[in-house]
Amino acid sequence: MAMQDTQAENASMNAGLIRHIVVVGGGSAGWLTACRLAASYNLTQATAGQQPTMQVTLVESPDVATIGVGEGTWPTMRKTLQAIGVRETDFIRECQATFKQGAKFAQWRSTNPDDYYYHPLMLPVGFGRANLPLHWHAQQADFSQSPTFSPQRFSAAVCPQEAICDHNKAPKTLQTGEYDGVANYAYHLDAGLFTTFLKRHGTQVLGVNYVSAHIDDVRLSIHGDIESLLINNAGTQQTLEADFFVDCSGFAGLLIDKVSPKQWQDFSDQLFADTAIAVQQTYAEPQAALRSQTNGTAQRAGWIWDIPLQHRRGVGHVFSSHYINEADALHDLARYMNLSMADIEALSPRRINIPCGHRKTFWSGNCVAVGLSAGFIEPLEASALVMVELSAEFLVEQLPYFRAELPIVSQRFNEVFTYRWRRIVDFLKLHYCISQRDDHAFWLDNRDPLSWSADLRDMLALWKHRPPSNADFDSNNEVFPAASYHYVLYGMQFDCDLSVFSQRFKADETLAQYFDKNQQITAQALQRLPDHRALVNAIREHGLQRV
Amino acid sequence: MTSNTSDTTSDTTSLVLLDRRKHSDWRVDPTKIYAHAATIRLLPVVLSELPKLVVDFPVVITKNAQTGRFMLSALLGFFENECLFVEQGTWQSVYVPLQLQRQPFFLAKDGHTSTQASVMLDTAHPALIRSEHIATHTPAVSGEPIFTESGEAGALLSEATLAMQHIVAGEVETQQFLDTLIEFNLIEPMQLQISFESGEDVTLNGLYTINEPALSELADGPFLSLRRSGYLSAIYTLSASLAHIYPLIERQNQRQSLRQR
Repeated sequence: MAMQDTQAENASMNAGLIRHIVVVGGGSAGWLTACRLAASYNLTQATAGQQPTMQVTLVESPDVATIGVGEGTWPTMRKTLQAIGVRETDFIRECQATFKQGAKFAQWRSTNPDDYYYHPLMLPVGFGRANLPLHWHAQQADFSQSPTFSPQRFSAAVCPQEAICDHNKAPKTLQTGEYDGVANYAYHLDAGLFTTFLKRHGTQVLGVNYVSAHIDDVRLSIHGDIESLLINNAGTQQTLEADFFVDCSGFAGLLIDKVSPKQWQDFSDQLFADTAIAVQQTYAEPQAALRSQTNGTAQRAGWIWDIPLQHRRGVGHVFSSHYINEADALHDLARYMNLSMADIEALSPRRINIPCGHRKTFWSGNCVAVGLSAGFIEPLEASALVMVELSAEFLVEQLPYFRAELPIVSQRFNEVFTYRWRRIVDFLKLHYCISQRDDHAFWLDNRDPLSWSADLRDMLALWKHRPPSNADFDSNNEVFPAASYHYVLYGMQFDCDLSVFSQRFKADETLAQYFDKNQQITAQALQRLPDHRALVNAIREHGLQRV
Repeated sequence: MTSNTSDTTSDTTSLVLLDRRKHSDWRVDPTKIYAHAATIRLLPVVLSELPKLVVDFPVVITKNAQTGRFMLSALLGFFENECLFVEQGTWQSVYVPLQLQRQPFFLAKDGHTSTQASVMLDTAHPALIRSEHIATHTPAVSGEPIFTESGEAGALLSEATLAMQHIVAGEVETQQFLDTLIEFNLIEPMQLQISFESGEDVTLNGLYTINEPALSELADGPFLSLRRSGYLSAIYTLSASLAHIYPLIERQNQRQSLRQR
């Protein structure tokens, strides 16, 4: 009698608890989320003889391929890898990773072949203390009458990273400890190798249970949340029960589709690109100079990404099928890569639909969509993986222990991420809307303020007369800081008039010292930092030390 | 002034294979060996030297300039190319580290992965007296022969060879020691910021030492394995040796005040 009472007691106690989490999907989103959750629950540190209090299981179908692209990251990835206990040395060796120090945007303002600007990963020198855009504009104005004047790029004036990238230098030395940098950095990585790497780490080190099976059915409880999955492993069906589900099944959205209203927040009227054609090209010379930035080169109806990994380049044309057709897009890609049509066909170009928008409800009941199942936006600022990291972090910090609290937390998640998506759309639109290009309807339509959000129209009206300030970005959930807007606005030579704004500040000669300081830092950095390819080789051979 | 400490002690371009025929008449002036050391701020040392180094030298952990791997070094000065333990050509400590005992010779591996090594001679070393210069030297400063008349190694070469053998064995042992420290998270970066009496100051980066809080919190298992490996003594000695930085600062102050006279 006593035994039965205890069991009944345990059952009702456990009924309210979230103990078993199932992640569906074995791409970057699935494994990053599974690893972050498993690491945070310390699954492998269970007291001897006892069942661990939490379980994390990842289910992936052996028949469904991952998307295979998605190679740019943000500096947040360093913290994420550290949080899950990965050695940076191992990551660089096994994922063909390179260091990324920003993005170089070419021909976004005009079709002039010399047109480019950098969006680096370091803050401008003196940011927050000195009004550098003001000084930079004044400087350009002062000297623009001189016959020898060449406009100094904003990024080059205020940050050493542009010069570091121009010289293909690495952001750190062999003596720098893992995850530390001399200059701030992120990574480019091989998406396929990355998921293999995370899978091994997740299952062998972090205690993630791995199940290879196809999802045959999603079973809902009478309350409408997910009770279990009917999974199929080579013909054998079984039921996988869990308390909470993370849908990382990509565009298919297998689970979230069943529980969340099928409402889509569409942004295609603001960001026109809807298709990508991607290729991978091995370097002709294995020791080819290694760039340390992502290149994004504008085209007549889109733009081309060019991402350097150790062994190959990942190149892709993001374009709008409303403005050019696929054949034209492939032709543009071939021209960019200096290849004949036959040569580019030989690289097996992959065509991917990229709908611009997101589900209105990411999290419903006991299921949340993370990654492509949540939504998609063109990779202009490599925002996809960082949104996965932010989602995983939210789960780590805020997934409730008790099921009864799910409605509260899910609403917060939906609000936070809806805000973040909107901000990303606006920031990406900024790259397009202040262009001077008029060579194609694509650009003219982008420059039409009717295709901008009301927020973006308002902010640009204000920024005509003053620089963006931190006060413009005062949510806890901002994705891009004010400095990023500086880099894009002034990199694009946004037509603004700061003369009235400047009257508020007395003429400040000390501002010049910041530019001088940047010159100094730049010279020192160029001297001290090793060549990027040489450092990657040295890390492959000797590794980086933990401190 | 900030300085990154990644000195190397050998310029390998002047090294040649020691040859008992080519170098049969060559000699070494021991008094000049320390003159060469006058420019060395960080000297590589090995684990077995620690009990002797502790008499005078701060011993720090540094990173090898080529491989980034950890190594042990004795801190001999604060400014680049300035050693505080050489005064007027004489060595100012009772202990002469192995890396000085071996000079002007050098043991080089025959290939990157080879276990064979050959004795090299540093032809740019100021202590070296080539045979063509001997006639111009007075007997009083003729130094010691590298080889005896019968072509055997002279006393100086024999002692240097012994030192080099200790270095080779010592490097392996030292690497194992440092690998263990890293595994237990017992190494932390250390930045030295020093102001001298002259008003000059200096910041040294790229130095590491024992992470004492981590050591005191180390779990029983790893701690016992340190004891079994015999590493505890070296760990405590490394920490204690940092106290030698104070007398080193004094040496610098005295040297600077002498210069200003």
